[in-house]
Amino acid sequence: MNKRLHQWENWWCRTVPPHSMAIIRIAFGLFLIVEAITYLPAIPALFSDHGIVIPLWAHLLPDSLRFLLEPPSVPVASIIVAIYFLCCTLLALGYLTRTALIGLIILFLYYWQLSFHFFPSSYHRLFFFVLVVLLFSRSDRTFSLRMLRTRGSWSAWEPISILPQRLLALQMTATYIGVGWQKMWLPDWQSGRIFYYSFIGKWGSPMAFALARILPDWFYEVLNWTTRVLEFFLPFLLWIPSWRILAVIAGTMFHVIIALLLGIWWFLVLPPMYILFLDPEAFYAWLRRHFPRIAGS
Amino acid sequence: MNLPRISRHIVIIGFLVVTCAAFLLTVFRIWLPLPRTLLLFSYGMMAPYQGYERMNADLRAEGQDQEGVWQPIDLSPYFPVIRGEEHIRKYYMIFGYKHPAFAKKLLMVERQKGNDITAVRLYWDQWQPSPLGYEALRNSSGSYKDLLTTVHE
Repeated sequence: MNKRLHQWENWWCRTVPPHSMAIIRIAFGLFLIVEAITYLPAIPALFSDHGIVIPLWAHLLPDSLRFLLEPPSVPVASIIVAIYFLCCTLLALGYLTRTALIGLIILFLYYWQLSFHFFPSSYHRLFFFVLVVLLFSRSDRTFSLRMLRTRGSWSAWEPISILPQRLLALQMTATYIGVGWQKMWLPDWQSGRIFYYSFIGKWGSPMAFALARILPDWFYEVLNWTTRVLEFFLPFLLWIPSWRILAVIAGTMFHVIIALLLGIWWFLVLPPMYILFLDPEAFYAWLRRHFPRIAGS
Repeated sequence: MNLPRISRHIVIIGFLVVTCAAFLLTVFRIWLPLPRTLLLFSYGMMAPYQGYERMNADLRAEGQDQEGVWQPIDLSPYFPVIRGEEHIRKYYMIFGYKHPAFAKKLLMVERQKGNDITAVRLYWDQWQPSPLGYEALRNSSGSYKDLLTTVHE
């Protein structure tokens, strides 16, 4: 019993080198910046009183405070976006990280109620979950401006709890398992027609439309089975060291193809996050072997 | 057990319970008695792309001018995003019954822009998909148009 408890504690709560989480922080911060850039031309239409913006929660506030959740003027909306960019940059740099994350969580909720409640996607929920977990992760304990200022080296490090890494890795596993397993019975996924109709539907890219004009029916059946098999096994293979490389390549190709054919590019944040499945101690040892300038413990 | 350790284990157990419940909902459609918001949030993280539409669709707006003639209103400036996101935003606006509010605001904003209209009406157009293009069969005989709402000044 004691041994089992010790294994449980060790798996969930031991302290580990922070490098995996630091890379997640940097990658996620940069990804949020890229995502925000894509929305820059849409500021007036989606986030200000210049467009047709219908906030979700404004009516819950008393009249005197309602302006806080109502769409602001374009200049104010631009200032709020600038604050969002600042928070993303601080997150990627690892400076005032917790403040930046609190800012991002508040702004995420703000933008949700202002505009994104009309676009409720899985990746938005995943992004919010990542932000909340990062808030408690101490991911700025290496590869950060914080360590450069306090310890004199950007690669100096302090150990952190593995718990946030485990939570993110398990959530990714749950996401892939849920997505993959439900395809075994979902009516629309029982034939390749879902791919044909997706290629010529609202998400279809010009490349997908072009392919739909030439691909034979059997190809969509192959695509359907390949996707279902991949999504069924991927969450397990990512945990198994001997299969991990194959899983990383297959998962990355999967998300790249989705981005190219369906324009759903937001899930491209997931392949860099496969680093979560690596043992943090082993990853640190690997970093030290390949980049000897990285500080020792 | 000290307090941080207890807190950590509350987080772990809470996460596992909610995630397992969301998994049961996703894969077997079994609802466990957990806070609905929490459950749906977790479910939402593992349930993208469950199906496809057999028909293409789009929101269409018309404004009535002073002579009583209905003119098309270009909605693209109000949805400057890629087509998939644009479609989902329009769909959820109708699904959440926010289109009357949208129509009212559209009338107001269009008038502010100098478009001298006195009424706005919204349609939900549907048509057969085609590999020739998203809008290729929009005006074909198999398409149909549902009037959603009409608002006046």
